[in-house]
Amino acid sequence: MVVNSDLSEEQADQIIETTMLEYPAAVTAKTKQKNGLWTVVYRVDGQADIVVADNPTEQDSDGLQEA
Amino acid sequence: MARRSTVASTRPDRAPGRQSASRGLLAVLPLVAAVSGCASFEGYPERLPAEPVVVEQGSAAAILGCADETCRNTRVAARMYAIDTNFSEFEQKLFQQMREAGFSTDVLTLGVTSAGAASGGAAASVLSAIGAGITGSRAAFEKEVLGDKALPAIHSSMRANRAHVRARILTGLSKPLKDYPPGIALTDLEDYYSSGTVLSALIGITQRAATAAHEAEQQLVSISGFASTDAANFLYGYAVADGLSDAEKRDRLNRIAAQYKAQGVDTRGIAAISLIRNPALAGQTAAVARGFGWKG
Repeated sequence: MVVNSDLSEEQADQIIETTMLEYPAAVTAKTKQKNGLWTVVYRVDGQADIVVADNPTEQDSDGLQEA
Repeated sequence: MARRSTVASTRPDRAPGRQSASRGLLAVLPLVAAVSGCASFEGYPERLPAEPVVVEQGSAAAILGCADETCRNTRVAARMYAIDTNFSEFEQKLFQQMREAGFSTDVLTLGVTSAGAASGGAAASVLSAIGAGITGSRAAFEKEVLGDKALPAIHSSMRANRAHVRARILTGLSKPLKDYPPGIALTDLEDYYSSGTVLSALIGITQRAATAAHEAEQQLVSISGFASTDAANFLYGYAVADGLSDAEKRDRLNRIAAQYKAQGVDTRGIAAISLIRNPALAGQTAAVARGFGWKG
């Protein structure tokens, strides 16, 4: 599992979009940090994974809930 | 023979080593029974089949009365046979009951949530998060774990647990009486019986989930920041250049990742974009970019 943190939203989207391009079965999640920056978490092997963010204010991904 | 109807009163002689691990989970099965709406579901095989000879030979008194290895081995084998016979019937009934009642999801949801709360630590957070659906790829989890694989997961867990205890017993039976006395054999037989229960299966599943969670933690790759150097921008632009098909972009990303690997970077499980945008890999990124025509 890979965690990319301290990103702008645009950078986070680039990480997700390019990762999905390379690994279409990847599971990804995007979480807004308390400082306003964003974190992307993904797993490229297609297995389900759990992302527990540090007081997330917003989440956005396949199957994830809006906080 | 009377069937067991409750959990708490049916485990008087569990093997000592498993008491603490199981205690927290004892609360699980009453909940399972409560939500299942299936009065006939019990989660336990019967103790012994109604075969008088086998019952007599494999009784606790008969085993404890053995004074030599032959007697011990014969009677322990008889009891194992009795347990195996009942387990086979139990498996069949369990399959039928769970299919008919359609509560495999309830069992697993309760099992995961309650077991997670009982096991403690980081694994508990993960398991509880799964059960409660707090975060994570719930849809994928439901499809893989709570869906078609719920029943096989319980069955395979029971079988794995039984095989483990069976090996221990068979090893014991090859030892002299003084090294594997009838009392110890009887304790192992009790463990063998317990291994064929749903409770045991849930414990096994929980332990494996905890191990998987631990391994996942060990494999976590953390990257902070976003490299916007000329080399990184060049590689990104090269990989997703306009006019390329998705397949061509994927091929370029794969080739870029391969070049990072050639630079000695551990690329397992990491998408190429995370390598390109990793500030800590600035040197490798420049080298890789040059390999693809960057003039910097």
